[in-house]
Amino acid sequence: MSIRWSKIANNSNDILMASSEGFDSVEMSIDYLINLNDEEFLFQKNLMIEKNLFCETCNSILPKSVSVTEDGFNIYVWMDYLKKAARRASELGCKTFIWNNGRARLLPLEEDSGHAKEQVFQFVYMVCELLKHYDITLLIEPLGFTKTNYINSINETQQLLNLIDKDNFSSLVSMSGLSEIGFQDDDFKKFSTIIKHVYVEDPIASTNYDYPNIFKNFKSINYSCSYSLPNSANKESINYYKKLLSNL
Amino acid sequence: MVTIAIIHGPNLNMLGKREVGIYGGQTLDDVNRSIKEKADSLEVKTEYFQSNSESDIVSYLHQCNGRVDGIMINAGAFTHYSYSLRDAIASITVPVIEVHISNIYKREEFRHKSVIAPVCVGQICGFGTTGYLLALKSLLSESKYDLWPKQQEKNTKKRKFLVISGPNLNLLGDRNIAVYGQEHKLENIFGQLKDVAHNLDIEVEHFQFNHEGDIVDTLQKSTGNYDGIIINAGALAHYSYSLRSAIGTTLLPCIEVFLTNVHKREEFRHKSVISAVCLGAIGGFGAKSYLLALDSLESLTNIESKL
Repeated sequence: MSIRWSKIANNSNDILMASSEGFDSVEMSIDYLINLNDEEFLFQKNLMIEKNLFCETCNSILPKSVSVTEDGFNIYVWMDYLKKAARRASELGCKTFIWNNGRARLLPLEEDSGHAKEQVFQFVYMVCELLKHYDITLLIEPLGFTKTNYINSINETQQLLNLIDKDNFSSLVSMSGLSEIGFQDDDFKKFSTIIKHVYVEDPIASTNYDYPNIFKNFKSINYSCSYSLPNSANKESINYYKKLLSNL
Repeated sequence: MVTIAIIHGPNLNMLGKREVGIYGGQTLDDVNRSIKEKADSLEVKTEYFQSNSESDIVSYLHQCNGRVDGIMINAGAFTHYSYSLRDAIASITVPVIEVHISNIYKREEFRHKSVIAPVCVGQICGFGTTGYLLALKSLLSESKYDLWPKQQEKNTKKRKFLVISGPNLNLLGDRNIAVYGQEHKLENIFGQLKDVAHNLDIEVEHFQFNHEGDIVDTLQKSTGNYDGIIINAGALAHYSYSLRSAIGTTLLPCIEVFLTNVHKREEFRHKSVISAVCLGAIGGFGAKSYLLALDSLESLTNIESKL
C-alpha cells in the first residue's frame, strides 16, 4: 500500500479544505465523531463521499477527562461508547484508532499501580476484540513523561504489544515526540514492524526539525502507512513532504 | 399492568456531568428514556423519582407500598450509610433491587459496604446504565415476559462464554435448601442458560469445580478461547486471591454471580476478593443471576445490541 497523507479535521469546513489541498484522508477525534447527532454525522459522511476522502485514523480513544487507570473506571460504559465510535468510524473508512491521550493511562502516584495496569491490559484487550469486527487496528503512542507516566518508550510499547498479543494492536510515533521518548535512529529499523502511523509537523509553520533526516529514516524502513499533519497544514505542506520523499 | 418504580438517589441528577469515567456520559434523562423504552416494549408501566434528600426518598418508598409491583433503587452515597433508607425498604412489602452504575467494589473502601443490601432482593452493579435494564428483567417473571433477547441476524462472530461454578455448587438442590432452594439443581440452571444462549447464537461451556486449582487452571487457558466469563466462585469468592489473580490475567470480561443475596448472610460473605477484577456483580436472583449475567455479557460483546 502506498503512503497516505492525512490532515486533522475538526469540522465540515476542514473536510472541504483537506479535499481541495490534496489530502487523501482526514483524521478526527473519536469524541468529535460521537458528539455528532445522526443528521450531522450523515452530512459529514456524505460530504466525504462526495469529496472522495476517507477518515483513515481516529484519535483520542477516550474523552479528555476519562482515565482507564482511575478506581472504578467503568469498562462496560466505555465499551458502549467505543461500539458507537467504531460503527461510525468504519462507515467513514477508518482503519486505525489511536490512543494518544496520556491522561487516560496515568498511573496513580501514591499507591500500588498493579491494579491500574491490569485495567489498562483488560481495556486494550477488549477494545481490540471489538475493533477486529470492523477491521480496525488500535495503535498506542509512547508518550514522554510530560504527558503520562506509563508507556513512555517504544521498548515499553513493544512489551505491552507482546503481552496483549493481538494482531490488531500496534503502535505509532510522533515526529515531535521522538526525542522525549528517547527514540534513536537505530530504533527505526528495530521497531519498523510496529510503526503503523506517524504524526508529522507542518514544515511550513515549524522549522525546528531536521525533516530530511527523519524522512530518510522512514524511507529506510519502507514505511508505507499514513502520515498525519496538523490542522494548520495546507497544500504547500503536503507538497513539501512529497517533494522531499521523491528526492531522497 | 405491572408498575415498576425507579428511584435515583443523591447526585444522580448530575449524571453525564460528573466523574464520567465512572458513570459515563449519559444524563439521567437518557437513562430514564432507555428504561422506559425497554419497559414499554415489555408493556410494563414505569415511574421515576430522583431526590437528593434522604427523607423524600423514604417518603416515596412508603408511598410505593401496595401501589407498585417492584422498585429499583440506586441510592447513590446513601447506600453506604442511610439506615433510614434501609428501614424504609424493610418496612414495605414491595421487592426492591439495588442498582449501581459503577462496580462499587472497584472503588473506595467506604463504597464496598451497602447498608440497604440486606433488605433488598439482590444487587446489580458495574454495568453502567444497562444495570437498570437488568434490574427491570430481574423484577419480571420469565413465564409472563419475553425477557431474553434473540439474535436477529448473525452480525457478530459466534461467541463463546466460559461459565464456572465453584465449590459445593454441585450440591445445589440438596444442601442448605433453606438458603439455596430445592428447585435449582446446577444441571437445570445450566440447561436453562444453554437454551437462552442457543437463541442468541452463543456457545456456553460450563464447568463445576470443588478445587481452587482446577478453576485457576481453567481460567489460565481461557484467553483466546472464550469471549467472556461468568463465575460463581462460591465460598472462594470471599478469600481466594489466587482466583483473583487468575481472573485478572485472563483480560476477558468477567461477571461475578451469586445465587443468594450474600449481604443477607454471614459477615464473611459480604466481601468478595474477586469483585474488583470483575466488570460487575449480580447476586440474589437465584438461577436468574446466571441468565442476567449472560444477558449483560451478550450486550457487551455484541457489536450492535443494547439488551
